Amino acid sequence: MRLGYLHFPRLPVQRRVRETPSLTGRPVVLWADERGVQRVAFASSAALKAGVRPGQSVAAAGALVPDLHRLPYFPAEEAQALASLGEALMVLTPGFQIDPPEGVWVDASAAPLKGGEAPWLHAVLALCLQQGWVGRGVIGSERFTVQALARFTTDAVSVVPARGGSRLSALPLQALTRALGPGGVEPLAGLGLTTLGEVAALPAGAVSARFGHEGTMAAQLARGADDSIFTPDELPEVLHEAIALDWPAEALEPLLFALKTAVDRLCGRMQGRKLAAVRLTVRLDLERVETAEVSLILARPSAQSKLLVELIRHRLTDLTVRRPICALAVTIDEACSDDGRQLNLGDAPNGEAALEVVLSRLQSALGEDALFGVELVDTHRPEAAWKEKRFALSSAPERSLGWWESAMPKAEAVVPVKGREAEQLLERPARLLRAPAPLPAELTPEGALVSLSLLGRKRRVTAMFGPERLAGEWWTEHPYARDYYRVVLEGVGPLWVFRDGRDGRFYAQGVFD
Amino acid sequence: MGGLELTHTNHGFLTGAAEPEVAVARAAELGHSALAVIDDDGLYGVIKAHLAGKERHVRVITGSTMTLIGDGALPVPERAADHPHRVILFAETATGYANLCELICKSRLAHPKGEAGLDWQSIAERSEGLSAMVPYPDEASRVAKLAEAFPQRFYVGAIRAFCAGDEDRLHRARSLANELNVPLLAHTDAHTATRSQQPLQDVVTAIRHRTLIAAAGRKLFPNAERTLKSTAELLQLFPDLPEAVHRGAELSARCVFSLDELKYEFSREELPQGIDHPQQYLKLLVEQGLVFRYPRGIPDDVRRQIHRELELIEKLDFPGYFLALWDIVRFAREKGILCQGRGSAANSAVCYALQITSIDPVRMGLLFERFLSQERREPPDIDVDFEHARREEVIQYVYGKHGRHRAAMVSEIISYRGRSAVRDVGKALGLSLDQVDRLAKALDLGDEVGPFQLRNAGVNPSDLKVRQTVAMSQQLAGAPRHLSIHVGGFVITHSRLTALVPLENGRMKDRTVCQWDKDDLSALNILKVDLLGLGMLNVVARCFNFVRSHGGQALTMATVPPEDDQVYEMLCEADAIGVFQVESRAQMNMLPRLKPRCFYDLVIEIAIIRPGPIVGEMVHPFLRRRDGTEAVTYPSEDVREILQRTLGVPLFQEQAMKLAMVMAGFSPGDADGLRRALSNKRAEMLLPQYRERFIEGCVSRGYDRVFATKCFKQFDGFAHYGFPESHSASFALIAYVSSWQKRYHPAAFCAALLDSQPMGFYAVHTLVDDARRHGVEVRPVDANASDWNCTLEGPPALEAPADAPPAQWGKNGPVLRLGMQLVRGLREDSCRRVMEARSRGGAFSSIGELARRSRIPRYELTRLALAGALGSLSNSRREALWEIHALGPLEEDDLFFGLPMDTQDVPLPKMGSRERVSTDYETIGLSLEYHPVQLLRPQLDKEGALTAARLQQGKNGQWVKVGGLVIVRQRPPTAKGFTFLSVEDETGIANFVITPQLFDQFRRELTGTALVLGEGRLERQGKVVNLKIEHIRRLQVDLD
Repeated sequence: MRLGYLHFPRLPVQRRVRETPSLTGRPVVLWADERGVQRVAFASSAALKAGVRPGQSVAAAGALVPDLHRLPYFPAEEAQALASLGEALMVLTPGFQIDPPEGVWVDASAAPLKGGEAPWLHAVLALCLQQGWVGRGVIGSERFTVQALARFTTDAVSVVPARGGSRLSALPLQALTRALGPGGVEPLAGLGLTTLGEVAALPAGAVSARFGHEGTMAAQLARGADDSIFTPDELPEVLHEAIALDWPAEALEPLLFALKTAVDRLCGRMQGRKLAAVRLTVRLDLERVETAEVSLILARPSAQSKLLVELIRHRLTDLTVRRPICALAVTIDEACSDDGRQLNLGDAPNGEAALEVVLSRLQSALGEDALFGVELVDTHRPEAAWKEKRFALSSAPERSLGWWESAMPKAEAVVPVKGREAEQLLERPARLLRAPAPLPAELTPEGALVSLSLLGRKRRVTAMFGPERLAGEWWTEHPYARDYYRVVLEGVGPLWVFRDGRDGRFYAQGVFD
Repeated sequence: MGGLELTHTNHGFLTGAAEPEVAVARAAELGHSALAVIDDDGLYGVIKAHLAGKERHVRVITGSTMTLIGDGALPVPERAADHPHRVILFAETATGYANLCELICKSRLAHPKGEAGLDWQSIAERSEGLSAMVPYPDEASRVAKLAEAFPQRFYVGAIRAFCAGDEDRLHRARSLANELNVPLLAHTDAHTATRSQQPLQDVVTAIRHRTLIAAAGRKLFPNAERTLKSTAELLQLFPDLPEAVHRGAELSARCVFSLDELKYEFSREELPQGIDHPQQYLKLLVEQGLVFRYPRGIPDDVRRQIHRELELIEKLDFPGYFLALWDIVRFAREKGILCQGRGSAANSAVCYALQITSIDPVRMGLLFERFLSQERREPPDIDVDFEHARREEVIQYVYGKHGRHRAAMVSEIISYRGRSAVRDVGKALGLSLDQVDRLAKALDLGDEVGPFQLRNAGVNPSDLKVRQTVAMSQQLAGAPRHLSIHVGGFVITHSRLTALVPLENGRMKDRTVCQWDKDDLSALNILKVDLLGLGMLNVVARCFNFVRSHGGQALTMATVPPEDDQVYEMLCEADAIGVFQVESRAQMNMLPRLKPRCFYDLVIEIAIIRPGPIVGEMVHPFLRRRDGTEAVTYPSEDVREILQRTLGVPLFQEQAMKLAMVMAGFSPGDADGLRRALSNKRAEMLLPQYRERFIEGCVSRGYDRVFATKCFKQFDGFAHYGFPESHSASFALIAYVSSWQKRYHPAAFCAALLDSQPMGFYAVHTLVDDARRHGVEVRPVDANASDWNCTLEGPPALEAPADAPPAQWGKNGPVLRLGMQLVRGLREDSCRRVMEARSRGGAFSSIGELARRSRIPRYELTRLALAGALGSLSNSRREALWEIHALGPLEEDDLFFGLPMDTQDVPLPKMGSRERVSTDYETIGLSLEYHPVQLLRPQLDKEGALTAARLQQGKNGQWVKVGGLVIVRQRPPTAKGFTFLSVEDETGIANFVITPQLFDQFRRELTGTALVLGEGRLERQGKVVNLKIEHIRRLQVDLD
């Protein structure tokens, strides 16, 4: 089989420069975290010229090049970019296989149809260039030979006949590193061998006796022998089912049959792959090329056809369409792995399903962001002491309340505070404002709080308890220092307010129920 | 009635931010007459607070916060300082203090270092003389029995810290107090002295929890209220509980114990039959020692001095101390462990007679008052150096003899310094590890770190985290980080040490240490002995052994021929690589200028290159006077007597003391007080009082005011570390002996140095190059010839001829065979197996045979091959590797164990000379084939660079270039930012001097480069040649 290998030197840098043209010609490094140290993974030509080297710490590179641009390196994104390139190349090749971070294998069987291997390779590289990638390519029959020549020679296009291992002899020993790993190359380097030709010249038996399988493999590869096979990458498959109705539907009932069929098929496919839908879209094709779409976000991933149909049915009930429906399509926009669920005694999946329907309807009706769970955050700053999290039905109730439970003795929560009106309040309000709201205050000359203005009206303070002092985060751009009071306002009730130590103003933080 | 504040200090190791002294000062400011120090499970900060309290008139109450375990609770690590079950104990009386110490010892010694915990029963058993308080409300069932054990002396803590839960906690405290029928005691749980220390408190908390400060959340205090408060503030805070505030005064009044009451009794030695008193035994031993020291009769002045010393020792009741020291030294001598006393002990004729020290103080005219004074009534300080490698034997002897309840090692508080502070603060604030590393290095290079230096180091100076790291590191610097073990300090007592000082386990096996450092012990007049390890004594002992075992003389330090002209001749030529104390770049620059010609010159040479004489501007006047270019004058005959030997320049602490006595009329005790003030960390604060007294005293005795002022200014220099004469003399003796060994037995000396690495200033390649320049033949590591250590081969180790030129000293002498310990990656165990196999079955004839007989792992065989140590078994290193790879399994018993699986020879590429040299350096740290710079010589010749040897012949002011390998890089604090590089090539060493401006300009070349080419003007001062660099760059090396 004839194979092509496309090598794009420093492709991650190329991609970043392409996305941000202002980086062209400037010293840029992409860094990856390596046990707490940011190390250079790739560097642009300008950075390399200034002495920056892959593997160096970013700080060391920064010391060499003060105006260095430092960008994080995301291997998954680079692999995705290569995959996209591979898909784009499918106009010229029946299959491709990505070789991150800088290479793509292509099936060159189709080359004779495009005027021969060299012209075909030129066309492939031209297409790559169109996509924005600069690279070089080699066509040959043995994978190692093709890859090593592409990576370690500078010819833009090269065609190697079958069993063209002799072309490898001048290549450096490091060409074996990707195949054998550093540990496989080091013993050979220790013997003073510097080229693949030198490795190839070693007697096969001697190499095998000394370095075992790895040595044998090294010698074979250096001679150009490589029987590894090309396996094209599978295309990412979109989970999508469409059904055209025999005649346009004007009511829900006939539509539901088609819907159930489509959903059943989708769920079957998902179950086969152990996937569950997280988000899906139902598209209705109306007469006169109009369409209507319904999106669903599931509270809990599911591959249960009955549930999905039920949810979609509810949404369709609320949908008003002006024309008859000709076809429908269901697409799984997001799926996740489905490892199944072991029911416990007392679990009521039916009830949960009903709840799920309600939640899903709420989510669909109010918007994705309107329904969320709450998670406590370990900080003293009240407005930052919680955060939103995706709402999900948990299979078992939370056993631990986390830090709050361990930090605060249980007795505290139940011992009531006696005394004045405000003292009877709990220390924390039930409802926190999203952000502190300024409260214009009236103070006595001695500084005592008399009234606070709320919703445009001045309201007298009838009771006040505090302060509780919270201060910190001096290490951020926004440190805080506040004295908190539990204040009872005439005609309003108890509020949790604080006086900001920096501007001296009062702010509302929460409301006691 | 006032309140009482309780505080944690920063001596609780990352628990609190308040320095004990600052906490006391703050307590005084706030009007408190007492302050209780309550560090966790220890008394770490109490002495410093006590001393500060004496100055500020604040009584420090000794306390500790004890961790309660039992009822299923586990011992907690030190870092879990927020463990909920705790009880604070306060020492009311001396008995209470002893009980507190015993309890801390029990808690600490029962657990590994860093952990503590005690059950309530143990505390209850030792409640006498103690008060107790639970700082936070605990479960009644847990503390009820404890409360019973402290009738009328138990409190429940009441805290209001402006925090959520304050009122509930107070309510529970009230309930607990009611249930136990004990009173409440108001406190603030202070961790800081002032609110402004809160950021530092947050940082240390994050460091303690090993977390980012941004992720520390509620591990941090919610506000800055855990700080010391005045009684008025406390009353304001507890308007409903004034009695709980005033109860502090009640507790304070009951805690009458002061650390000044501690009585310490040194260990009593067992006395021989017929002798009733230690003093009598000491006299007997001294008499015997005098006969040994003065076989031709004891001089009268020695006799008088001995009589005076013994009288004082008896008066001060220190005979036991001397007897214990004598016993330790006796043990070492019996075991053949080389040892020698150093420091002020060398001022004592008794120590000399007991063979604790080796310098005759009477002959040297040393001042006994520097060692011991009646007025001072302070314990003597005797430091004894032992061969580094065998010191552990001595330490275990002391533990064994006195028992662990009576002997413990002194601890050393390891404090944050620039670099460590930056590392921990940077990590806590979330800088990446490489940024922290770079910042740490930048801060270490100098005190002033501005945007320029930060940018140069690769960090962004405008980054908030970087700015905060720099600022907080400066605040953290000086704070205790962890407790370590002092290099050799031992406390030995007659009664239970555990009732005097809290002890804990050391990280090292078989080490128990006390919680106080040497300064704390000294402040309480607790005697310690320093049993130190000295690498050079190893070298000296090994060298003597080499000489003796290789057919040479059997010598000891006492029998080395004294005052040998050839030795001084060698030193005058600055030929001192490897020699004790005078091998540094600065010392080698000084040697040709000072030209030592006798032992006392060496004493001066060692003392003069110290920050004290340099800052006190004593060096140049002394050299001018020695050269005869400046007249030596003395204001009086008395002064002449003191300063004559140092040509009128006070170089030693003893001279400052004598001058104070003679010129200003100080008593010996006052003079020692001046000496102590000079060597105190806070010398600048302590000296003014002495300055005035000294100058006025001098004037009243007829001395010129200007002279007196100048004289005192020179004393100021001692505040920057100076040597006592006795110490310098002790070191000079080792310096002389090591010089003698280098001069007459260069091969043995070099072998001993190599075997004692790491030590000294120079890497092994410099030591070996130096030996070869002196004619020593050095043979490579060879599996068929080398031992683990270096060995001597060939001709017997006779003394080098006195008339031989330096390059001939080692000629015709023994040959130095490098030891296998130089091979990196080879374990001692493997080497021993090779040696054993060799001694059993004779030399190896092939690599396979070596592998089969020694059974060492393949990796270590390859290390030997790469190091060229299989040269006698193979033609080249690569062929050896080829052969090793062909051997069958080596790691375990196998049918094909070590058998060659293939015998084909193949032509492998030959190693070039550069590659060989590079591999030599990588595997053994040196090359016998070429100096790396020799390989660059053609390139350097093209550049017009001189060799280091040619540089010596250059003219003053000549513009020259020199290239070489940087072997030493120094930036001493006294050099005002100047940097000194020692650059080695194949001919010798050149000295580069770099100005601060140039250092900033070429920082990268100067800090991260091994091979450099420098150019600049040659500066010559007699035989001393330096190159004042004006441009420097790195040398590129390509391996062939």
